[in-house]
Amino acid sequence: MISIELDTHGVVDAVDPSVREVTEALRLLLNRCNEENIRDVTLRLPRAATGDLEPALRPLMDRPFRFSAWFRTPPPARLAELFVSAGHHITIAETVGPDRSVLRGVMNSPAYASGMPSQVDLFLAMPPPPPSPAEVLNGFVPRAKTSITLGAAWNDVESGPSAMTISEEKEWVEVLLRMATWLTAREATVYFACGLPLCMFSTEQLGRLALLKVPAPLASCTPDLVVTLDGRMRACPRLPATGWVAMPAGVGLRELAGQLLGPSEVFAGFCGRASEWDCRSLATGGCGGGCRAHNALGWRTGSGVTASSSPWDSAGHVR
Amino acid sequence: MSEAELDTVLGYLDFRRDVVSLLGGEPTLHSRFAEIVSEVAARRFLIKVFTNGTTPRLRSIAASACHDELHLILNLNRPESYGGSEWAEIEENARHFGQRMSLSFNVYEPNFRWDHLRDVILRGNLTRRIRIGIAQPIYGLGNTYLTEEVVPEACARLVDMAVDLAKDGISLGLDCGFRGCAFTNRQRGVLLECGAQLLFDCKPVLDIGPDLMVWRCFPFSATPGVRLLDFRSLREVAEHFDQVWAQAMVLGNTPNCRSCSHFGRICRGGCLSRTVNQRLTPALL
Repeated sequence: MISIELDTHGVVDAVDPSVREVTEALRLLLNRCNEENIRDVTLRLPRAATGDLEPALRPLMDRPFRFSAWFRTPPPARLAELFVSAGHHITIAETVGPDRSVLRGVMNSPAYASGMPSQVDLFLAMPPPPPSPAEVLNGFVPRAKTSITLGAAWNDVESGPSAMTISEEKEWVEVLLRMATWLTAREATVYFACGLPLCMFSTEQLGRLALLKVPAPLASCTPDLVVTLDGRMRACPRLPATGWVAMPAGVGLRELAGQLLGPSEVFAGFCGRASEWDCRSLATGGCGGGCRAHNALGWRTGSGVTASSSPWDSAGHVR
Repeated sequence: MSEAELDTVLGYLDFRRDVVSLLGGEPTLHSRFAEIVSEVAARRFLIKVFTNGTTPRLRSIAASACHDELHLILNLNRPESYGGSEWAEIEENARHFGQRMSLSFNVYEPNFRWDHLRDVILRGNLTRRIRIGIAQPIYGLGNTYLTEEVVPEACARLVDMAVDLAKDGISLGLDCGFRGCAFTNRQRGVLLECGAQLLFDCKPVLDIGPDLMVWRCFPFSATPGVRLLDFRSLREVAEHFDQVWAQAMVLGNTPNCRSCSHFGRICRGGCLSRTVNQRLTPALL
């Protein structure tokens, strides 16, 4: 499984690209994905995406890909409508707070309001202390057949100081669990994003999760390849150590992803048993090991210090 | 089942959505077993063959039929319940099919053992997941099944089994008919930690027999079935059985089911056949 992400953020002086540049880059990328039978394509929209993009993207959306639109700024109504009505993923990335303009932009699309089956991912930077589910989900109206991926923007190079930190993990996981309970009670299907190692949850919390029908396995990291408008590629943006390479003509994208990502490492600090390769969740595939970037770089506390306390007690159980 | 009947059944299915499960009794006893597998494979269906694995006829499946979506599920009892040649055939079949094969185990007593499952999986390099069923009452048959009183004990034992097998990377997958509350919160958590796939569902898993008779699922195979040809789709058949058993479905296995917030959502209150057995009064029946 591989996912390709087209990052349309301006590559020169952070200037947003033109509609023509975006659609041409996407068209070329889709042709390449089609040749290699890759179906998952994420479109990280320009910061100042306008409704002008909608007519240019519409013909490309008809192709047999699972698109995911990554909105960091309030989407123009026509653009949100395009993704919702075609049944593609919508990723809402914003900081939890009083201004939920990205969320409102998606919720207000007529297709969503009419109850069309929708797939909405919430990737939310949560300012400490962890907010309540009511704050987090303020304005969010799950519809029947809505599937929701709950993720968190961690305190890494991209998300900045407002993101969650490992030191708040215990409180935050409880918030996450209550959000999942709230959403599943409204018939939404809840997934957890890749970056959450299973051992963030206590055994009791996992017992509650089991009654929420959250699909397992948790914490599987799907490799992302990011492509820029000028054809450069790199591994998942959370992995700052990997450099940019020009998209090669003779190498398959899957193979390239393998080269860029390298073998998955299990973080030795956060999950004590995993460091000994003696974790029953890793051994059985119950846990996918969590975010590769954090495993490689270390999970950071608010002060930037790598967390090292083991979540396992002396009997080998999750605390 | 004749060739024409098989063709009729496949006509009710869509290869993009439906799985064809071949069961018996023992499906390898059918005189045209290998041909049937080839026929279904040629029509691009995902195939599951449920077998006791004690016969070389299992290895008569043509190589051309062994596409990626052909899986064999070997239901394994304790070794002492087999004759010497039967166990040798099980081992040979396991070696032959390797990763294409996984094990199934039915819990029919609370103090069960599982070392033999681990041995067969590791020696045959089988898929490291075991389907776990629970022996349910078969409606109208008076069979031996796991009684309600010992279900918690059996479930606790399953958790021990999951923890032990996880050391070898082997995980469990619950079949239908379990109740969420048969496990404690902590037990469910441990099962998830051990990679188990939990299922607390009960819905029609249509059993289609010779002469195209259909039953809701195996535990109802002793009831009068319905004729497949009287329905336009399998969905209609499933809805028919939902209507027939509607009064029982809203009860659940225990008196606490109806007030449980999980009932009807993630948990169906256990196996319907158990509900009928334990909770339906003669008047309702």
